[in-house]
Amino acid sequence: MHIPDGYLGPATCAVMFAVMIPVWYFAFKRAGEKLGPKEVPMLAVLSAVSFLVMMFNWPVPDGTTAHMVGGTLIAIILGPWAAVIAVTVALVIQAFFFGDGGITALGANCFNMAFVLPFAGYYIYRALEGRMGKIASSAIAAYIAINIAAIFAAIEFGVQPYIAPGYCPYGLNLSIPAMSLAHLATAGPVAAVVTAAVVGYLEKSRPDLLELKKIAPGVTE
Amino acid sequence: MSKFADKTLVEIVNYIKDAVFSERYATFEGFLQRIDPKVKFVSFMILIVATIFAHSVYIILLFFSASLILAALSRIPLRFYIPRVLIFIPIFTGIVALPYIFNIFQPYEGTPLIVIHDFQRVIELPLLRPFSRIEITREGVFWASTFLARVTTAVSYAILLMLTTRWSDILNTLSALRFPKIFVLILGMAYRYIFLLLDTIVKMLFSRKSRAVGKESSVSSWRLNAGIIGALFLKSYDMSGNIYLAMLSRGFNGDFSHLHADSDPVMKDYLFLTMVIVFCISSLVVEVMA
Repeated sequence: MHIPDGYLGPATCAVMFAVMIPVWYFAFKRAGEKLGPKEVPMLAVLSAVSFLVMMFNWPVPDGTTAHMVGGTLIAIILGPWAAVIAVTVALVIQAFFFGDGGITALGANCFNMAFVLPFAGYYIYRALEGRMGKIASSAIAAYIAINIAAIFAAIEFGVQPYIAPGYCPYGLNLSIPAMSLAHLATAGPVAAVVTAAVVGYLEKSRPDLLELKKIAPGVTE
Repeated sequence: MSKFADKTLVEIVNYIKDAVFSERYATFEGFLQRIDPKVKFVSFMILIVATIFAHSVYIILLFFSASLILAALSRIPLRFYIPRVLIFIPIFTGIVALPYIFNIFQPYEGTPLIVIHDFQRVIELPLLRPFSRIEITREGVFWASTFLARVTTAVSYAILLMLTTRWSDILNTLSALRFPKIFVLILGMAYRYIFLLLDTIVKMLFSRKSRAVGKESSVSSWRLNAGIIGALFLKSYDMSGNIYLAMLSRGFNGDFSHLHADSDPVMKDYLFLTMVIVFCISSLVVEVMA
């Protein structure tokens, strides 16, 4: 799902940064209010975990790459605003050290993977948790969230042929099926299994970690 | 896990360690190493953005040559630098670009270069334009090479920046440029954790391997891998608690300061920035005029 440099036109890059700046602002503001100094190392560890799970990615013809993000898992444990920060940090390290995901496309990549994905995952998990238990709902949340994020990515580069000739040449007719197929069939199941496995493991051995204070909208105290 | 997977995993881990943690070249006495990190960071962002604006393959090649010259001036051996830039390009970008050289993925009829197969009749598939031949077109090849050149150039600048700058200087730069304090702090810590977690993963995989005899079913391997990820997570969590206590006992109060004193840019740094801006603007103006 990492969009490389030169795949999005300059205008799209600028718009995505403009969208992400308030998101980052709120995430850091909320984190500053809610996070004790004790949670700072925790967020750093989660960024590192997210970085590592994203390293295992495979390319999608007509699309970009498929991999799990870990955003849903982080959102379930610490809340979606925390996931915004953790995944953003992981994406920044990847863009600068590996050229995986462009620097100019960082706004777009963070929008898809660090904003849309954890928020979708968090609310799906919260909606299902009461009905079907933590493990099943975390699997479903991770599966749906990664697919929503992939479709957002596909729309962002799929509109390029219409608005910015010379950048991504694949129209929406190719980008959406290519990205959806890859994420429905491969990255989605991986994300579901890994997220559910970790949630299951935590429920068994450290249930307190699933009950931590969340940094989420509307959560006070 | 197969032998192949074992071997690649160790290689990947070693590669990541080398890519992320090597500060070998950042301490050389080269051209870019002597430029003030803040000015260097801003200059490279300008270069990357200018690269993205370039459409002509010649201008993109000009930008790429500039990065090679800067690398050579900074005493980075090109036989190290070029493979380091190119290693991920084919995997991340090449496969994405490749389909476009074929006419069936293009929105318009192009000039055929090589006809791969002629069906002698019109074939209609969902999502694609109706086609009767599969061919490689000139427009497709042209677009794919422009795109690859542009990505390669942008990546070459990002990697050159990281190769010639110490990590602590990058963090200093980010705080000087008013990035949120908590972001810089987490970025700095995450970078260290990645190294530690990689080591832990390799140790866990090896210790499991050394206790296993014969072939294992994929179900049991999934179950074990889930356990490994879960245990890794718990370990990291406990570690983060310990690190917090360690930081606290050394006087951490939510703020952080750096070992290296912040230096101010001097004349030659501003000269470099001016040259970068002039180079970018004139290249893009030449492109528009031509």
